[in-house]
Amino acid sequence: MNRWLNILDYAIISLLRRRRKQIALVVIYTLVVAFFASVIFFTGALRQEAVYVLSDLPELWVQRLAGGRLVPIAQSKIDSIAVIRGVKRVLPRLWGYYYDSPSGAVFTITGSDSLPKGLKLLDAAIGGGLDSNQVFCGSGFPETHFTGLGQQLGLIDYKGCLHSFEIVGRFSSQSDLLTRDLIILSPSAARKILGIAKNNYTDLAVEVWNPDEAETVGRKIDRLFPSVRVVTSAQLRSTYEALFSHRGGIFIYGALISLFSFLILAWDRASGLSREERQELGILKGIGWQISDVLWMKFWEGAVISLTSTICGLVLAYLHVFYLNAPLLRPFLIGWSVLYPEYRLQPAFAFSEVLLIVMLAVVPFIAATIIPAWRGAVTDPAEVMQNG
Amino acid sequence: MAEPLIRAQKIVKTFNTGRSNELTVLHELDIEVGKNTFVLLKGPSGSGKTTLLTILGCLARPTSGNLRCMGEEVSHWPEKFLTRFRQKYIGVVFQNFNLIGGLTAFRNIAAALIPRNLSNKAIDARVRSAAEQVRIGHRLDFHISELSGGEMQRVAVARCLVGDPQIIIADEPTAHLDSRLASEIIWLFNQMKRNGKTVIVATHDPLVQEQADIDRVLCIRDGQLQPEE
Repeated sequence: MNRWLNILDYAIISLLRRRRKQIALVVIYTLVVAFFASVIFFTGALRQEAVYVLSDLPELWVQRLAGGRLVPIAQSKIDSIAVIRGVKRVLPRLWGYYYDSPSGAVFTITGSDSLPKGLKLLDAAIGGGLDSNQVFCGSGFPETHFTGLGQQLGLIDYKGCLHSFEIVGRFSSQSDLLTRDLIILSPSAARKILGIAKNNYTDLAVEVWNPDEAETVGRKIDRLFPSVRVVTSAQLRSTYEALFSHRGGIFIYGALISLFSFLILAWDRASGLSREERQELGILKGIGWQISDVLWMKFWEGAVISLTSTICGLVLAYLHVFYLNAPLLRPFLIGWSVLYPEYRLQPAFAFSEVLLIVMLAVVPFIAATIIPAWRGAVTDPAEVMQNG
Repeated sequence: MAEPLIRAQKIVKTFNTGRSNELTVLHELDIEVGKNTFVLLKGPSGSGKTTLLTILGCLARPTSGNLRCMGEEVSHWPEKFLTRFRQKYIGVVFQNFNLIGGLTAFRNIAAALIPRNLSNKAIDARVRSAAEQVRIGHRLDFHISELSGGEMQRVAVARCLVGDPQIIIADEPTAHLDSRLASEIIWLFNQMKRNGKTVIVATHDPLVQEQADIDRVLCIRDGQLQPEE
């Protein structure tokens, strides 16, 4: 045991001899690890958000189109669709977008007299459903307007009239992707703001008895009502997946850049020992160090540098992604962030991801430190004596 | 009659064997070195002194021939066992000090004890004791670059002594020192002999021959031993 501690102690002292060089190496390696870890954390957080978004979807949506635009769908369609074989329930939905010129953000307004499925309120001032002058909202609107629970929220309707609502509930930030821009009004208030006439809805959510038959039911609806568009949850899921994998693809490039950086650093280490390093190994062997002692010393040197860099890189990446909200990665990953209120990623990463980062950052570096050391360590200690 | 401490028989050392630049440096040398002996190895540059010293110090293996050291036939031992043997019985003072730059005198001396399973306390005690023997104890916390040539050579000698070896091998230990510092180093080697060690020094410094308590002078020329003086 003493032997290992002595070798570790020597490795640390040895590193401190070339302090500036080692600090520069740790800084560069930390940045490389931080970029790679940011990529991993960011994609992980987005994937987690997507899971929230997709978890409570109905199997089908029915939307009415006119000239390719979404137009309100009449109440009468609900009864017609509800009788189709395989349909369990038809839920009319009221929603639309609201452009808020003071903040320049676009909010999503939903009309519902109760809390939509899957969403949780962080704070609530009421116990039951919404009155026509009350709203639930995500964190976006209160933050952009410096307002909060119990205070007023002003919305301008499609005719240009201002309506004031009391904020009676704020969503938990567990899934900001879903709720950050959300404003929930009572159905009558939502109709007023969005300009949707009574007995009309934005679209219909259709639940089916057997999810495996969703496609078949969708085709039936399509055939019966040619003016409507049917979207299945599978189609939406694949759209989301395509979206995230496309962005994930961009991240693969990011990850590749990091890997190349790892390799360049590793190559730099592996490309050989300096004359002084070779001589030092020869001296150590001459005074009684075994090859294995030399390799352990180099192992500890590599481990100290790579683990320090990896830990610093992980902390930096965590702060970058979850505290600073990934300013270096966001612009090309959340394309719509210009329109939506600023959106905060929630810390979500798996142990396996951290393990992957540690493996990729530490193992190649240690290997790149040990291989040239091994080449140096197997040389004859007599060479040091011969060469002075 | 007791077996000599070192017995080398028909030692041959050839470099670059089988290549166009093959060079035989030592030609069938026979040497015996007894316990508590001071041996001076003399010879011009390129005569094979250092090569012979590396073989006697178990730093290199002969191409052919046998080497018995401390009663063990070591000439064909693998590297691992040879290192362990050297660690236990042999101390080496290299030419040009060969100290490790950037470390203090203490760390340089302690480096020889690191592979041994010793506690920090034991290492500290041994280093200080070795440093006191060579009168460098007051400079232990100084970096090598802050020491004079004589002090550096004392550190090198302390590093050689710290493992308490039976055999001390030194290659040109006074090569870069002025006569006053060289005398100090020679005095140290004399002390080692008085303490029961076997000392083998390769040098062509006449001061060593004048001042050292030499028992035998071995002269080597073109890889062959000349008749003893």
